[in-house]
Amino acid sequence: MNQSHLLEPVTGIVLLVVFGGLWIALGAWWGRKAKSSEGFMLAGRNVGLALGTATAMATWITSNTTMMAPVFALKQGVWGLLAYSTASFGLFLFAPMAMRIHKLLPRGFTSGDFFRLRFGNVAWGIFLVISVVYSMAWLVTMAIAGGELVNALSGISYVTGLTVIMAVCIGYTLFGGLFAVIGTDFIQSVIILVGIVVIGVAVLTKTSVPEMAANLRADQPGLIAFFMPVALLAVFNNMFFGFGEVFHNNVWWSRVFAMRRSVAPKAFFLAGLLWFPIPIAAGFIALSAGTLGINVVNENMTGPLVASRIMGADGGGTVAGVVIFVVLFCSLASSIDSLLAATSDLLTRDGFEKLLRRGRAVSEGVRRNVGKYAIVGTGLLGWLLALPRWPIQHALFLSGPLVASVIWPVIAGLYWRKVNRNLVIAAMLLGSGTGLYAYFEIGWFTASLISVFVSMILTVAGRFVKPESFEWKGLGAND
Amino acid sequence: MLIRRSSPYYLLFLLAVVVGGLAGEVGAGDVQFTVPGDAESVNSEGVVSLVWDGKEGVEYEVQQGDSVLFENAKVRYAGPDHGSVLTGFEEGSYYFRVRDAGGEWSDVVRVDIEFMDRQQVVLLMVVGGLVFLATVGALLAGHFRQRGQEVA
Repeated sequence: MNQSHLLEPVTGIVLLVVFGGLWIALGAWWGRKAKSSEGFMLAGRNVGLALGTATAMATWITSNTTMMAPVFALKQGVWGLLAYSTASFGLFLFAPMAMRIHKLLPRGFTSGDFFRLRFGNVAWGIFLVISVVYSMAWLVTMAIAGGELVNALSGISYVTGLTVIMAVCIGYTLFGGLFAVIGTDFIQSVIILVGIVVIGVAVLTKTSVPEMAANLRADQPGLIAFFMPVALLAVFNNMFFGFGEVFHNNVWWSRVFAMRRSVAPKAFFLAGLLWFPIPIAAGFIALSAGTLGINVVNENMTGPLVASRIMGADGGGTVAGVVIFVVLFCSLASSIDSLLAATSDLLTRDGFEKLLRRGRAVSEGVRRNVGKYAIVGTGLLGWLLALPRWPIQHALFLSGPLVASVIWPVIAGLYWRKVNRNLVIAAMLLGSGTGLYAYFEIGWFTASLISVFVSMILTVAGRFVKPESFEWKGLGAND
Repeated sequence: MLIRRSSPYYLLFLLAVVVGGLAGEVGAGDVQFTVPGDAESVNSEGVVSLVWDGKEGVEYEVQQGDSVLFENAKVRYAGPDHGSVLTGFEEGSYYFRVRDAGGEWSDVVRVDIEFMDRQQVVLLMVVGGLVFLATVGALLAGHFRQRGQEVA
């Protein structure tokens, strides 16, 4: 299979070096603000609305948004576009939860803190396994996408592209912590928004919606049909996957703790609003492929391929390649850095301090060093797991049932004073198990849906069957 | 038997079978599909991924037909690539063949698009809708109930 590259390898290398160097320099500059481990992990707990909204939106615009949304549209059509955009609902619903989290854990550090204090050590252990597995799956898919992007656009080898992108992200996260992550997120979100608009407008100059509809009706009728089972079920599956990702993961909880209390709910709601049209715009590009006679060979590269063909058609091949490279680099980096920072926080706070040190006091210097080792270690592990170049969709969607099983335990933990802890544990385990079974026996498009359904039944049962009372003030005793 | 073994027509028949078989071997295109790997396959998503072998720098043509005879065939791809992801198929059987410019057609592959049972889909959609409403309801109910209260 072959499709020509839009950029010369030299241009690709120059872009990697320039952007990589710039991002690391920014990371080092912002990192000066982190005077303590709390500053490093939570950016001083003082992030305002603009930066808060930008970081939430940019983190959620991952390479999955810019590269998987077109794949969803290519394979599942209009329903696929809508299925992907339902992931914004997780941000909307997290807005009120952010308010509650701030109230209950004013000095909280991680989502693991919440689970340990609310449900005890067993639930906490299961939660940590789910969270780390999902975070690594997300990180690996970003890393794979980075290598494939560089390879597809410029011909630079997959391993080289993967290595450079991971090294850059590890570098500036290491220097700047959450200050660097949030600062670069703001720049990246602006670039992504502008880039998506530019590419979307370019598509509309080459074809029209009526022309696309006519072509789809003739050659790809399933993409605009109402009854397309996989597409229809993907709407719910993606939505619950999104709920689970946002409700449980420390990437989002750390942002809640980093933002000012009055800012967090507004920031998440605005981020959801701004994010909602992004996958629709990205997916729309893919729907034009047939009309424009663009042959898709590797479905994972649908978005960059169509964008590059459209923008390169007027002789602006190199410019098109640079624009696409920059937009996709930003979408990758804005998520990889968040994952590195949040996962290392979880490993440091929950893994090292609470589990290994059993809550004994840890000096500031040791905490910062462990945090930095955790960033490097997480990044290295992500790089190693990305080397085999798995199919992206499979790697990430397998973790869908795991995170979906935590949706109801989180809701119960935040809002219900009384719930049976053992049934909450059962909800996570059985939800994950049945979801994984559905993944392999029925299809990926049912896994998260079935997981959340089973988990919901058991968690709701826990409200009525031997519920255990909990004092909310127990969550405020953070050390 | 329709033709007796002792009949000269039987010998002609055997000869025709042998020649026809050889022709099938010799006349079969140099290009063949490597994906899908089987002559018949099933897909539930309405997606057909085709990959074929062959030389670089050659133009290929992929045809889609409603039957193995390829009456009313449609050209789905013409160009130098060695693969194509075709999507948006509704339920039914689809036949594909590929050739290089001026070459013979490859062996035909058939892909059956079979969707999930409609009742199963409707059931899962109803479950999804109920879980969505319950999730949003529980969250908002908890939010409004706890909003004005102090942590106690």
